[in-house]
Amino acid sequence: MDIQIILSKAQNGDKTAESELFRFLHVRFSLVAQKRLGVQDAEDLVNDACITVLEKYRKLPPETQFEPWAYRVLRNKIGSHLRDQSVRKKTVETTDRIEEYENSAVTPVDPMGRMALIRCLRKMSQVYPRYARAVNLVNQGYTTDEICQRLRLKRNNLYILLFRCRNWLNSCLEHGIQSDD
Amino acid sequence: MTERCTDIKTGRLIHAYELGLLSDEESEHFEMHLMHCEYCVSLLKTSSLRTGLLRSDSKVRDELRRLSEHSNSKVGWAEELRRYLWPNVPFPFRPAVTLLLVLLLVYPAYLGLTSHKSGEVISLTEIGLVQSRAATIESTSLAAGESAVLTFAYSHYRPGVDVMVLLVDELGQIIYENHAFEGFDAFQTARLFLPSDLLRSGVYRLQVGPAGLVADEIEEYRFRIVR
Repeated sequence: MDIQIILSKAQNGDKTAESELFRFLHVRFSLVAQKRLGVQDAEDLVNDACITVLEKYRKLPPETQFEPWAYRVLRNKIGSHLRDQSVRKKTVETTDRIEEYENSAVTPVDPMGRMALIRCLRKMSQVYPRYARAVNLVNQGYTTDEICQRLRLKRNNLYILLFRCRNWLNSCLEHGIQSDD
Repeated sequence: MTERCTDIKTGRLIHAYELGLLSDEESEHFEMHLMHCEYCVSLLKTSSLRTGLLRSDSKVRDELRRLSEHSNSKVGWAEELRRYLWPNVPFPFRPAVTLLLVLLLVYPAYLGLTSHKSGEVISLTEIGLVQSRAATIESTSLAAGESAVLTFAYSHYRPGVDVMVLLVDELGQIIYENHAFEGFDAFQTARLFLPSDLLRSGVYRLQVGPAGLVADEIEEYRFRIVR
């Protein structure tokens, strides 16, 4: 359903629409926050940001667009979280950090999924040999500009290459390895 | 899930975003896009596990490193040429296919051009035949391999009526015979090409007349060829 319709219903006091709005925000906020902070730190922050939005959205001036405003709320929360974290990090002992790292939850890996991914990566390296290099460089901590330099690609071309590789990989994982590729 | 991305240009940044390659500005732009693109949200949700594997699973990382080294390794010129001519792209876009098509189109044209070029330039002499009662016969010298064009007139020529043209040598052997000669123009003159192999040294007689060679309408020309 269109977010503007949900929003207008929620603003008129429709509780179902408000729940819908919460779900809408939660999904998007989770993706963004997990990307920026990791799964562990994201959860509380996302809930906090959603609550802030739900508290204030009724008082929004009519000329303010909802989505950019809600995104700005999340960005502000992430910003203040990162600032707090950097202050906290200065005081945390190294041993604590090791402990924190060791205790961090590891996503359980599906061995079949991993094997399928590896098979597709092998196959894809024949079609797009630069993809493995690009991701390998990402994993080694190279910046985007350095990767572009090494692969002799412009930034936009790198993004397009990655987009195509992603589609190829998706297709390979969904339909299996095509023999005619 | 919606079928399409609401902004394809921004949607193409998805994998760069997943891998953390976008600048702050680009990330912000993409995240704003997520706020109203259901399609990209669903793609991100479904691929988060895979992105995690690519970034942090040791086995996948090792494999990527191995593939990266393999793709980076030096290959011989033959392999490089093969990769260039026959890359893994859709069939019509392979350079070898394009090259073959070009050859198929260009080679016949090349053959056509060269066949014209290699043809010999024909050396010709025009011999104008005039009826004369003089006993002497006009001589024309022809170089070896030189052909001739006879120009002659036939005063009895009428359009639509068949004209017979007969060329005989001094031994009476017929060199050229045409019972329906059509080479006359509006001025009752005609030209007859005679290739070099037909003409040897000697005296020739050209007879032009109606199809039945009615005696009073026959016009005869004599000429000598000297080789």
